[in-house]
Parts: sequence; structure tokens; C-alpha cells
Amino acid sequence: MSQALNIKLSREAVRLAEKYDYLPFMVERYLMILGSEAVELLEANEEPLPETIRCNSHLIDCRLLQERMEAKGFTLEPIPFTRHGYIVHRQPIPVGATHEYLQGYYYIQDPGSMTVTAHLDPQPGEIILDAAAAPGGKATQILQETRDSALLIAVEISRRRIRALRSHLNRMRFSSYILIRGDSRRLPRDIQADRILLDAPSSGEGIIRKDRARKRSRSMEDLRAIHEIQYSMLSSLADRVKLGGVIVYAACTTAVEEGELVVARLLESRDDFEVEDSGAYPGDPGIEEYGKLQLPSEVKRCKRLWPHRHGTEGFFICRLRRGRT
Amino acid sequence: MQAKERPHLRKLRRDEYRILHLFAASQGLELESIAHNPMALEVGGARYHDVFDVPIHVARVLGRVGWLYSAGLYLGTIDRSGFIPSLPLAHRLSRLCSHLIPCVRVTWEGEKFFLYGRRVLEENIEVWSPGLRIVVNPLGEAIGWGLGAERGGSRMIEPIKDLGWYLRRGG
Repeated sequence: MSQALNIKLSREAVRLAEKYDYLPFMVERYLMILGSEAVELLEANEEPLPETIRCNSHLIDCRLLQERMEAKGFTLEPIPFTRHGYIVHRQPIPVGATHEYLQGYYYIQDPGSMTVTAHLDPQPGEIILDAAAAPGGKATQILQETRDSALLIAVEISRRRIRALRSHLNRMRFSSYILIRGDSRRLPRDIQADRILLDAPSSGEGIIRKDRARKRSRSMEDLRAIHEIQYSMLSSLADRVKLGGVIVYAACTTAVEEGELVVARLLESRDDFEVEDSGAYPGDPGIEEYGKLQLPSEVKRCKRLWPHRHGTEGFFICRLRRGRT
Repeated sequence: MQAKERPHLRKLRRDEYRILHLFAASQGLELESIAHNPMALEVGGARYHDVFDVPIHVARVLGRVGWLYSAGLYLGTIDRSGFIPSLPLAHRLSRLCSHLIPCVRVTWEGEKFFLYGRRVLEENIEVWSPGLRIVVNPLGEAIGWGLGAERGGSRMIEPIKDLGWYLRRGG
């Protein structure tokens, strides 16, 4: 990690950082990964992310929801790579203030975030742990996909954010869950899940399209601290998944330090996990070479969503299976 | 110093069961129609208890977790005044509105008033019933709980809890 963060700034990085108002080290990293294509990423980040919603198919036929919304003047278009996602092209009133929203018929969720739960592939009857669950997009999606018949253990440390999570669970009318306020690293040892989702707290570098402050809000030292928290969470959760079970590690970021480097560290510290290819969802392979670092080739099976290539927010998603001991 | 008790779910006490039975009866229902496994959230020092209907497969795991925040379907809150039903409970019961239990149905205009937490007057009421009732829109979708009242020979619905709460609470 320290080697990865020892980044020497090029003149090009400084120039682009000044032009697009980023911290220069961020742009240097984009250049390391993407070369001249980094400019396309910087340009894509200037385009606001479109408003997108996920239809709650547990409560309503999604075609009916579309009809109801369009009758009110909204224009919706299905997102091709999601099962229940829609882009909201036109909204006569804020999409978070409709009667359909209050009825729990949809959740406002970014498109990349919607794909994370697909990688988890939750099944009815399973015990599923969502280790950093607020505000609830993926938690409600897990219950939706399992028709409210898995057991979701949703953990959130923040008092403020857990209120929003509970509100969304109520609004969308789910009941097969336990909501715990606390640190998922300190869960009782006898909790063993079939699947775990860790959408880790991150720098938020992936959501610059929604929050421009993210261009300058995290220093290299912050990134180091965030990496440590992410690794600490992932490694402690590794003991909470059953043999044969799955952990999906995700972070809303394009930073290798928060993605491949976290996964590589887990793979180096334990021999009972392997990275799985989680299917034909959009995304580029994980990055194997980063500066002078050569990472385990397995990380190529992780997925990266790039704003300029996939039209989403930036995301890192990796599916790990606990296998041999 | 006394150790702080962890929030946990417990079976209802007899007096709490009685309160829930009374509420169910007021809606023309047996308690079993409202909840299969009602449990109360015990938080040290609280003067009220949130009540949840906890599915059995969820209840089995409860003993293993700490700092519980909620679980199962939120039914409502028991305090000194009695039972205050929740919005999820309104949804659960609203499917019985058309024929089994007395509910109140408002017009689309009435729905707008109600969701802003405002009183609905007679011209915007399609079906009225006195007392604490589920309020539904013309499609039969629950939009909250209201109190069917009569004043000066005119019928109205006073909002008790409406779906707009999800916006007003900001979450």
C-alpha cells in the first residue's frame, strides 16, 4: 500500500488537475491506470449522473409503475443491464416526492449500485449479512430479490443513517430482516452467513458526477486510512461467512487502493478465499498492474465500472468465495 | 454503575397483549389477523415500546445479536395512551378494507390533503367510518391512519399518521 501511494506527480497530471479542479495525485493515478484515456474520465465526471430508480417488484408490476409515472408526466427508460432499474429522463416533480415513492414502489438508486446486489445473487432462505447497510439501497434490493424470504442481517454504525435505513425498509414493506446498530467488525462470532455484502465506506471517488467536492476532499493520507478501514472490515467479515459462502466486496470508487489492493491483501493473508467471476454483468476486469505493483492475477476477475465507459458512477465490485481451508 | 442494557426484542407482557387485542377489536379483527409473533423492543429507560411482528425464522437468530435496532414488520408503538399503529400495518391490513374491516376512502384530491398532514373534508371522502381507521386512496392503496370524526353535522378525517411522514422525516 505504501508503495502504491508513493506517487510522483507528472506535469500532465498537474495541468489536468488544475483544469478540472482535482487534487493532482488523483489525476496522476488516473493517468497510471488509463493513460491518455484519463481525460475521457475527467470529462465524463463533468456530466451529472442521471436520476435513476429501482422498481420494487415485490410490491408492484414494474410495467404498471412505468405507466403510472408516465401518466404523471415522468419519462422512464429501462436500464438495460439491470432487472428493475430505470433512468428518469423527465420529472415534473422531484422523483423522491411522488405518491408512488411514498407507497414504496421504488428506490432512488444509482445504476452501478444496482448491479452490486446482482453480483451477490442472494437466494430465498439464506442468511445474508449487509455489513454497512445504510441508507438501504442494497439492503432493500436483497429483500426484493429474495421476495422477503431470506434473513437479512443489516448492520450500520451511524445513528443518523440507520434511521433512514429503517425508514426505507418500512416504506418498501419488508419484514425479513434484523437491523443492528454497531460495527460489523464486532459481530458475535456465532453469526455465520451464506452471503455477505460489504459495500465499504470509501473515498466516494466514484460519485464525483453527483458530488463535485469529492474531487478535492480526500488526501493521500485519507486514502491510506480508508484502505485500512476497508481491509479491517473485509478481513473480520471473512470469518463470518460459511464455508462455500460468498462475500461481495464493493466500494464506490475508482481507486485501486480501495479496490484491488484491499482484495489482494485478503488473498495474501488467507488461503481459503478465491475471486469468482460473477457473470455477465457490465464492467471491466480488475487491475493487475498498478505502478510498480504486481497484484495477484485473480483480481482480474473483479469488476470495475467507469463513468466514461459504462455511463455509471465509478464502482469496484469483487465476488469472493470461501472455499478450501 | 449499572451496566447499560442492550436493546433487545422480547415477548409482549400481558398488559401489552391486552392493548393489542383491544386495537385489533376496534378494527373488527382478531389479533392473529394483525400479527403472528408480536415482540416489543426493550430499550433501557424508554417510556414507550415499538412493537414488531417478527417472522419465526428471524426470531430464531435474535438471541445472537446485540444492539438491535429493529426487526420484522413494524406494527406500531405502545405508550401510555395505548397503541399507535404504524404505516406498514396500514398497508398490511388495507387488503381487508374492501369487505372485512371498516376503512375510509378518499378522493385523489383528498389524498393530496391527507399526505400533507391536513384534514380531509366531506367533499373529498368517498367512504367514511368513525374512529381510528385506515385511510385508502381510490385505488385502495393505504395512505395512512386517520380519525373519522363528525363536527356540526359534517364528516371529516383528521390525519393521525400519513405516508408523507417518510418525506417529512427526511429518510
